[in-house]
Amino acid sequence: MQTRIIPHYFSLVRIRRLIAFALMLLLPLGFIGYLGYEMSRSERARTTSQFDRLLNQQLNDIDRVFQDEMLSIEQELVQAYETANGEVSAVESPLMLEAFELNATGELLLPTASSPNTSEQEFLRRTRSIWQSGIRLPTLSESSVAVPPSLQKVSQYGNRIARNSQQLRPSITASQTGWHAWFYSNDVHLLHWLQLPNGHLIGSELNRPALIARLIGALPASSSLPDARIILRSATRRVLHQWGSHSPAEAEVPLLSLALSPPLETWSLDYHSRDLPQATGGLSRTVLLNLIGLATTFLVIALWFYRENNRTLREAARRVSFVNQVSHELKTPLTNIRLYTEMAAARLPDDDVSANQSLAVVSQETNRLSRLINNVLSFARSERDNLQLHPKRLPIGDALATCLHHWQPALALAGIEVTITQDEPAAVLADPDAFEQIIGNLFSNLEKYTAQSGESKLTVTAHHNDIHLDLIDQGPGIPRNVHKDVFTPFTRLNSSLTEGVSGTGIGLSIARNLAREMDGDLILIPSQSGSHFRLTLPSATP
Amino acid sequence: MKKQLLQLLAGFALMQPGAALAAPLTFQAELSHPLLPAGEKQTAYLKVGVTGGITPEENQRAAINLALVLDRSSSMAGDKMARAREAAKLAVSRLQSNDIVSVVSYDDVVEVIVPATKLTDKEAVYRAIDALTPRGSTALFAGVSKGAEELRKFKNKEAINRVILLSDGLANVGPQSPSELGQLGASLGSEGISVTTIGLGSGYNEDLMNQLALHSDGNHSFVQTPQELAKVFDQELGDLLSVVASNLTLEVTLAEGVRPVRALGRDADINGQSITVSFNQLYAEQNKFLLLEVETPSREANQDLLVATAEVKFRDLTSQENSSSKTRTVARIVEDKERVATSANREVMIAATSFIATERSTAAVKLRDEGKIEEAKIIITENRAELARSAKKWDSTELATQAEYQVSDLEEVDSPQWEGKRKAMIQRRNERVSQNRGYRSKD
Repeated sequence: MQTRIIPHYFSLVRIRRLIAFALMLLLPLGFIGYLGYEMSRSERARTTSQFDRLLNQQLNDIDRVFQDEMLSIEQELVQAYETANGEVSAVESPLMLEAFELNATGELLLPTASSPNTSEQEFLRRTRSIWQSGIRLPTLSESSVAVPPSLQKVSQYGNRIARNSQQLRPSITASQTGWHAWFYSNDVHLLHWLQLPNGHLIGSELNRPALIARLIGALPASSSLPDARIILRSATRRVLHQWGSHSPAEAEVPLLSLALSPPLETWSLDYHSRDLPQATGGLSRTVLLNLIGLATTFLVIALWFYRENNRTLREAARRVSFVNQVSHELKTPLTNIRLYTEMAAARLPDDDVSANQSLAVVSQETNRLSRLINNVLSFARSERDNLQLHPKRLPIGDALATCLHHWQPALALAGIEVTITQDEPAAVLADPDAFEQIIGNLFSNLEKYTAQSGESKLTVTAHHNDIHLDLIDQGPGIPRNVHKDVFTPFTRLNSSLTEGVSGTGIGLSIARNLAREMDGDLILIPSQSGSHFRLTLPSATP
Repeated sequence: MKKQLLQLLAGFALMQPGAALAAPLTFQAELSHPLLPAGEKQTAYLKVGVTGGITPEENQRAAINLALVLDRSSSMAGDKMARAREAAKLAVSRLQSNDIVSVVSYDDVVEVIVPATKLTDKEAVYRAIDALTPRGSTALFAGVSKGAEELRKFKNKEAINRVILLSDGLANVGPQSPSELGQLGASLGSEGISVTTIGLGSGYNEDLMNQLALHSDGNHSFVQTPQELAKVFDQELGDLLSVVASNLTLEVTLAEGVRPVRALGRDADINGQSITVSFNQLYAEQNKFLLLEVETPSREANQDLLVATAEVKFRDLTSQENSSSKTRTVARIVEDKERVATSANREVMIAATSFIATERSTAAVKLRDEGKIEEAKIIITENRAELARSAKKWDSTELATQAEYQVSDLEEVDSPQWEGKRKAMIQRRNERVSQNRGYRSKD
């Protein structure tokens, strides 16, 4: 005996309904949520890249300011050499610490090693590493800054060798001039040099603090940067200058860092900001409100549907309940009718044929009525899980005979003959009323759908722990594609089949439910012609 | 002959106090030993200096181009900031409408609160100053840089360009070592911009402030209490209003055979026989000089020896013209060594002694900074003894006072008040070396 725990039809429906409702609610919400997230993400990405571009631009602007200032400084230096008239002596420019001269082979001519001047001696000491390595400055320096034409008129060092390197204004022919950076006393220092027509090089060591002060002077006001801070850092990451009203936290990582252009390439700019793009990015308020509105609408619609559904169900339940009530009401008088009909039939003399016939019809119809009412009641009860069956040992042969006896007149009228075949005596564990109902519903269908079709066979066989009752008819059969709909309550097959047939459409559904309640089943087996129903019930045969 | 020339010039200045064409300065060169011993070398001191004439009339003075750079770090909270604002406004009030003023404030960052403009609306400047509130740290370097930049907008030869820097704390943003500030000072000085540094309280770095002022030829003052700020600024303005000459270059060319040993106190550019020094400005009645230690050659007696020729080039601010003055220093070789000693120039010797003592005192400070207190004390004691001896020899109150300072320095060398003492020492040294007189707190 197969024990199947099958959820009762009604609870299945309820669970399915709940799942459907949940999906209807959650899926749109899920999509909206995801849409919102995606929009927010792409918005943020866009804002971040915009922000990055802005930062980059700002820092590059500062770099340009510095480049312009370095150009002015270079002009001043070249002019200072000019004033000194080729003689490297007392420094004229406030930006110079010391001046020097190299000959064409890169040897240091001035200041001389034996100079009594203390500051010159200091200079030699500081720059010793440069001269000792014996490298020629022009070959060393990568950064060649173009001397603008206005200066070239003034300068007598008019060496018009065009250099094809980093030029700020490519259209100007450059003089050989440039910068040289060297590392001394923990930081980078700059030398400026200019090549003379005779191949000699003159130049100067830059006053580093003065250079920094000049660059600071060229910068815009701190108030132009209200929510950010830019920090200029040396090669050793020391703060050279900072501006902007925002004060970054200790060890805060800058949003963007930019190394300056040569000759200041060892310095960098760090950008810190109060407003991080993540905070300002994301959805705009209107978009967010719209998404919320959409979600709310879906929620409202879902709730409305749920309520409607509930109302419909409650309506249906009320109708079922009503029918149930009515059926109950009908049952009592019906029982009386049956009783008195049987009594009258028993007292009637056998030779009063028409009276006997009339009573037989009454008896049959009352049976039918009773069956219908039972069906409805069963259905209602099963819907409300109120069905209570009392299975007991039921000999099949007797039960079937009784059923057939009740149905004989009706079936004969419909031109159907049912033959029962039973190999050996069998008994099932079943509720007798339920059994009668099942068989009755099956016969009812025969009557309705297989009229004039001839013989229907009912075979009883034993299989393992079950008893199989196979009802095979010669009727029109049921198309394969609607097999599963047959057992669905209130479902009747297409009108071609049911045209002109009365019925409630709950017969087979009731029959199956009852069978299953008794640990059996009612199935439709595909067949070439006609219909083949199989009722399975647990065997009670010892 | 030198002295006679000096007296003549001085007399000339005194005789005609109100004369519009009075010379803005007098130029003098004096040798410590006008008589030199025959047949041997002699270490002598040559003092070449200028003395400012009388204060020009208010309507004749050169225009002032002033940048006030004020510390507004959080340590300036309370009385300090209030007094600083007061003092700044007082300074502005002493200027006229053809003077140019800018105000720069600095904390973490630098802000130009009054860009350089002609002072036609004093009230607007006062309002900007009144809006200063303390906050943040100390970007001193940036403050000076921006102040100098404001000056450059209107910088010209005819005006006196000055940055007045006020700070009460340690510079902690940007370049902050004394040598870096010194280099900045030198650069600004050679641009014709002097930076006067005013240190308030005991929390600032006096070496830094001193180097900045010294190399740019500005004043340096150590102010102990905020109440004195108004007076300090007032004195500074007084100096500015009394400038008689600017862009001074002193060049001393030693004669052949005379060996330059060193320049005392100042950073002078020694190039062979030629020594050059520059000053940015000269105040009325201020005496600024270069003190050279030289070695005269061995010569035979009874002849004159040309020791040096000196020239000063400068801009006369009252007439707005460039001018110059020359002088010659000649000594006489004598046989009598006693006469050599007795004829020594008292003033020059006092100056030389003072400078040498200052140098030793600086060395003692350095030792004290390194924690070598006992060695510092030894130097100070020796110094004091030497000063006392010289004070008596030359009958000099100045040297005696300096000796007294040595005593108190000795006492303070290992005391917790060292910070304050050190600041006072640095100020005094600055004065002696640069002859720029900062404000003196009442001791």
